[in-house]
Amino acid sequence: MQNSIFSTAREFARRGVQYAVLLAVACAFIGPFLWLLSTAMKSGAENIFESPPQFIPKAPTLENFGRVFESLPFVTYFFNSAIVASVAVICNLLFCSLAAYPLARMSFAGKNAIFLILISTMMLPFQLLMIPLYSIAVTLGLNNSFFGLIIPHACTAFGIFLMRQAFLAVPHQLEESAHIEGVNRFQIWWYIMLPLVRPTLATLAVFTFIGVWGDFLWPLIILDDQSKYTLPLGVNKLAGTFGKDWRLVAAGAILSVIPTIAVFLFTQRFFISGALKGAVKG
Amino acid sequence: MKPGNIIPVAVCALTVLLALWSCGSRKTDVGGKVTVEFWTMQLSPILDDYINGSITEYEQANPDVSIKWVDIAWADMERKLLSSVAAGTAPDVANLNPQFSSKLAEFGALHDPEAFLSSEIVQSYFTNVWEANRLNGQTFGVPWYLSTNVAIYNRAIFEAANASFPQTLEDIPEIGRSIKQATGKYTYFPGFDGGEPMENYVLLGGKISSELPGYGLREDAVRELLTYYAALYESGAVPPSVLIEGHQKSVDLFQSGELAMLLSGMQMLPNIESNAPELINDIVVQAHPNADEGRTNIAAMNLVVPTQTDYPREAFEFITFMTSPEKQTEMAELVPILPSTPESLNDPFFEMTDPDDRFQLARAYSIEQLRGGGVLLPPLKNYSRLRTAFVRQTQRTMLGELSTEEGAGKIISDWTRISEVESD
Repeated sequence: MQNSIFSTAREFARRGVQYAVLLAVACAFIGPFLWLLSTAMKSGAENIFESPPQFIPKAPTLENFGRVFESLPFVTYFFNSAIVASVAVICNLLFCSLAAYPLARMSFAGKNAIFLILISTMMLPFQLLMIPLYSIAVTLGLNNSFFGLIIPHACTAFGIFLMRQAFLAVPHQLEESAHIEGVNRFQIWWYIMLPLVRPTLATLAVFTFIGVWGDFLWPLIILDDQSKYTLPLGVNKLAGTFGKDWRLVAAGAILSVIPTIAVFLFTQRFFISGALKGAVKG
Repeated sequence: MKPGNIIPVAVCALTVLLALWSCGSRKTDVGGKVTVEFWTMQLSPILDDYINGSITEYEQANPDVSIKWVDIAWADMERKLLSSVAAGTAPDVANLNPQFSSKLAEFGALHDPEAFLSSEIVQSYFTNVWEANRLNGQTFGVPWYLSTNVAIYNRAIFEAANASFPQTLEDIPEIGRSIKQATGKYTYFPGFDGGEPMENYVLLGGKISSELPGYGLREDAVRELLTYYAALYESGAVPPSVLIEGHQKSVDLFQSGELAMLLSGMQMLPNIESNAPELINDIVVQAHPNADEGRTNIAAMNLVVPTQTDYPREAFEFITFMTSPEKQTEMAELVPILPSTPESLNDPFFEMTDPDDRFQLARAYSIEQLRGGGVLLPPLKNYSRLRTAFVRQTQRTMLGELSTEEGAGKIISDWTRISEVESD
């Protein structure tokens, strides 16, 4: 009886420590976002640099969010980001899964070498590729266009790697049965493989969406026309050379991350299992 | 058609659609009209009406020229410009700071304005500022708008410590010590992210010249500067984070009421009013502590013309229009800047009508300093390496890793070595 009480108490303490650590980690991650939200909701009469810092706004207001729409063509930027991110996600899912399927399930000379070369490109930072990529885009007349904005995100080495790992986990018997039924490779990819790797597709969609939605450097380099700006470029304009109202910047930043949160919430039931796919079987 | 067969068709259709939709816009001359691409540093949206209005005015007066305005984030101008230069699509006119302009000028990437502008126009700008845009005997930019630092004090902190405002930079360590002891707050934040340590070297009596060997750095003057910085650190006048943070941190600290003084341009006053409204009544504006000695720094923003342009003549004509005294006065009425043409200052707008108005006071001090000051840190070859060497040895001396003699010796030897190598 006494042993049971001790064991329950020990278990209770263990859980308590676990939850305390998890809570601290959660606070560390969500803290900056909450701070941003707090700044966005502070009124003009409040010192946002107050010492010690005040987390809870004295007179919470949504006025700053309205001012963002007055200061910028926010809807245009939002629409541009939505188009670019949506098309990039569709292209990435399509092209990466098309490229990954033969690398995972077909035998041909140089397969491993191709995969290795693809993977090795992941080690090159974008800053290194930026200028050659921009030169190519200019040569092709793609600068200052949505197409030029989407192309670098349309098929990524990471996406091919992730999809290849997912295809490798599908049992061979399913593919063999389909072959016996006279189904061609393309139909196997579409009707059998893709439905089975849906969690990985969702994961890749989330990763791509977050990457494209938050991308600042490539749109900065390739776009000149402000009417084609995506949200990160647009929100950046809120902090001007002659005026930095941090409440406005914070409100703009909050508005710009809402779609990312929405996409994650919408796909999270697939996301966790899909994210683990890349970690096993190689 | 089965879905499996639709996919390749859909991919092709999507590609064609996007290609058509993309409408890639290369710079073209339509109907004999010359297009001049004009890049500015984060002037939008506050100056949208002014810039667009000026462009319309210019285009009406010059029907054969079309101006394409592109506004770029301040922090990202260098990356965007370098990419465009590498791809051969540099703008015709760009708004740059002198240090980055000089870096481009080192590689011969900028046109010399004096080859395109008459001497009368050249003389219409402040001579001390025009001269600062010169590297290896060649001018590389036209000064546009200017700024000079004034002293912005938090009176409440000084009163709490019963301390007076510093009259010179050298007064700060002792005043800072008493403020730290009485209030626990800091006095000054000389950032290490820009040219401030080198500017302070000149303010304390040193000289930097691109014409002299080792850029004219004197060991005794460097030692004096390092002694000053070490005293600032030791007295508690500056926070420890000064070693790793830049000017923005000083602004944040001042707005939080934790810093007693801020040396910054007058454009900071509206920001403080907006971000820390309760602080504004405690603010006192005075001239820069060393202004009496006629040594104040002028920060300039330039307009440059890259050599990649096909239309240098049209580009300089547009620059002449944008930097004319009238246009600069118009701009100064909208945003807190100082014009680069002395004639602009004759406009009644620049007269002080209310001495109790902090902003007018700051502008009056700034104008006074503009007339007597200069660009203390001239354009230097290999500037980034020189700055890094100067800053690193100053930081090591502040931390006590080097004596002031050792620090000064290292700075001199580093600068001599760097000044002798080719541009990198």
